[in-house]
Amino acid sequence: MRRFLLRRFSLLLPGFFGITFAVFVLVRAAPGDPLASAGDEGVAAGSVTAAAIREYRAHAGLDDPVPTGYVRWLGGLVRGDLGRSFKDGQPVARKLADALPVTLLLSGLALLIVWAVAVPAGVLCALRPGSALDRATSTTFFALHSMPVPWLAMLLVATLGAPGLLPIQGLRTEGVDGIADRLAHLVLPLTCLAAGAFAFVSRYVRAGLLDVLRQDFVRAAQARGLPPHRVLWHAMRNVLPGLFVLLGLALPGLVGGAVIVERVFGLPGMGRLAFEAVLSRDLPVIMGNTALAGVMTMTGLLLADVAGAAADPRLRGSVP
Amino acid sequence: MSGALPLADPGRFVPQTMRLPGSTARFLARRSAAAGTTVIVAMAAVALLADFLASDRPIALHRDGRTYLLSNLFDYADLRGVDNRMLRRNMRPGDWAVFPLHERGPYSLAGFDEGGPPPQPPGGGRFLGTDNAGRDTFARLVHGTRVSLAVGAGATLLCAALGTALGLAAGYFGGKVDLVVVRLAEIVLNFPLLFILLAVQGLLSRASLAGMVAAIALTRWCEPCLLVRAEARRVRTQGYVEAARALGATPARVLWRHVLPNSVTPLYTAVPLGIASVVLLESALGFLGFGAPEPLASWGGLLADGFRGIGNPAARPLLLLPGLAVFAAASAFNLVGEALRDALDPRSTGGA
Repeated sequence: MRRFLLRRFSLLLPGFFGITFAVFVLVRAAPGDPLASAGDEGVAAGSVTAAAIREYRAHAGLDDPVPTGYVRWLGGLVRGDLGRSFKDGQPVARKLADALPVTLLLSGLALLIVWAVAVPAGVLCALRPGSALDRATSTTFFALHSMPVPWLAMLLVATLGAPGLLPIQGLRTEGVDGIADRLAHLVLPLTCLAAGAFAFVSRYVRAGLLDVLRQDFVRAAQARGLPPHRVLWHAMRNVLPGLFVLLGLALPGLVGGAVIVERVFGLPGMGRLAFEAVLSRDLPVIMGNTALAGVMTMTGLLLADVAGAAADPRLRGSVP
Repeated sequence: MSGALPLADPGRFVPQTMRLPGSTARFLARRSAAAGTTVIVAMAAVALLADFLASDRPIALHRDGRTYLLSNLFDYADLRGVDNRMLRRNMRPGDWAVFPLHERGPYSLAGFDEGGPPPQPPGGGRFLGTDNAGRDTFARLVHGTRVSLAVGAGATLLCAALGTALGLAAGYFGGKVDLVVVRLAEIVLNFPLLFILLAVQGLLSRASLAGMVAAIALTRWCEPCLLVRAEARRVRTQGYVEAARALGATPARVLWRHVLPNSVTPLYTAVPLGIASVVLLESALGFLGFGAPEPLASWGGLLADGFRGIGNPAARPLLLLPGLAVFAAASAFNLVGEALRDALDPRSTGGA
């Protein structure tokens, strides 16, 4: 098992380097200087001297060749130093640490809601395939899945937010404390985040369970006179490993899945951080974001591997 | 939850054949598939005919003894600065014109004599009003259909081509190639996509359609790749492939003539589903301001315009319709994709 995981991990690292390097190259190769927008205005206004900009460029490593810059960035990463934002000079690590909890709260809760609804729904649908319940659930989830998130968010804001029924900005009302206020602020963002994801999970459960229910051992269990819930548990045991793999794969989405929702609802999370960093070409922040997303992706894939291998020993030997 | 669990229903048994007539029949028998196909065909027609549905210039014009054909498509030097409204006011005896269905183009701004400050409410010649800049909402929707569908189809086909090439190589040659391609695909597949797309789109010298299509293709090739790889692995061991090899066919020929045609079946499902998700992705990117470059109209860009005018009742059409268009297109492609999957998969149980 350990050898298997080590092999899987060793294959992940090149991917991580590849993606971070690609983004690094992109940012550095992009025409227009990360400092240009702020710098030129500053020079024109007389508050920044050209010499100061040159000094800053050298200090920030913007004059280094791209590979050198990347290696320097990697070195910093290993030491836990992600550099400072070009925009406000704050350490990138701090910005990430501020933004991450917001996004984790949002995406984590959304994931919880999705699974709490979609797994039972999938089971119920598999037990009565073709029934009115099955069709209604499938249609609803399907429609939500085809819904553009920005549109859903706008519709919710226009119908529920504008008349003042639910708050539409931020995480809490200024000056108001209490759990009710915070929860109210989460309702609309969570709705938008969760809406599209029900279909995938419920469908996976439904299809998996339907497949298993057709097999002989289920028939045998029924013939032995086991009560229905015991039979169902027998069958579900065969669907769960796949579900754990899915759960592992949902991990990266936790950090990157909320760009639009955070923008519409003015939430200070990772998505907004990434969005603003790209707008202002804030190289260290973009790289910090990418690195964090990369680490989450690798962790998620490894967890999925572990789940898969734990559930099915055959995977440990055969798969690369 | 009472009673026994349902077992396989013998009445629903579908013979295990993959002949096309059967699957075509199964595809067409589904109302959802027919509905989805209808919507797609209609939208494709709107996209193709956008310049005839909404344009600043007539489709054909006879003026001062000269005839201008398709002046909505071609830029005649004599007609610079001329638009439908002006022509309608200044028709002389002997002049004639064939006007487009809607006499406003997607880029021209509303004149000072029309309505108040933008966004203008529906009324007059603009039955959906204008956006914040005073451009006609209906015309932008129609022309946006073209851009959004083109991006959806173009990016998806590029993804499929790229994914097929890599998947074929990985599945057929196996070994190290397989290892590297699969692991790379897994990473890219699970990486938060919007981050990368934001970075690529935000950092290109100027946002361009080609750039967006390329960026989407480079980040979304993994799914077709993994699908084709699985098929290629299966096909590799088939008798006809071994026979071809034994006869001395080169790897390129074996891949092209034997493995490729037998490995692309999953793409029939993956391509429509992919188009649906790229259309959704374009709407997200456009909404964030990283989609099709201004002044080009796209559904995503229109969504952003709608968001800007969210508190303004005059911009209500812009709030509702672009999203509805994306929703309809995504639903239609998803329906068709699923119907194709069920039709091509004999084991499928029907339903979602």
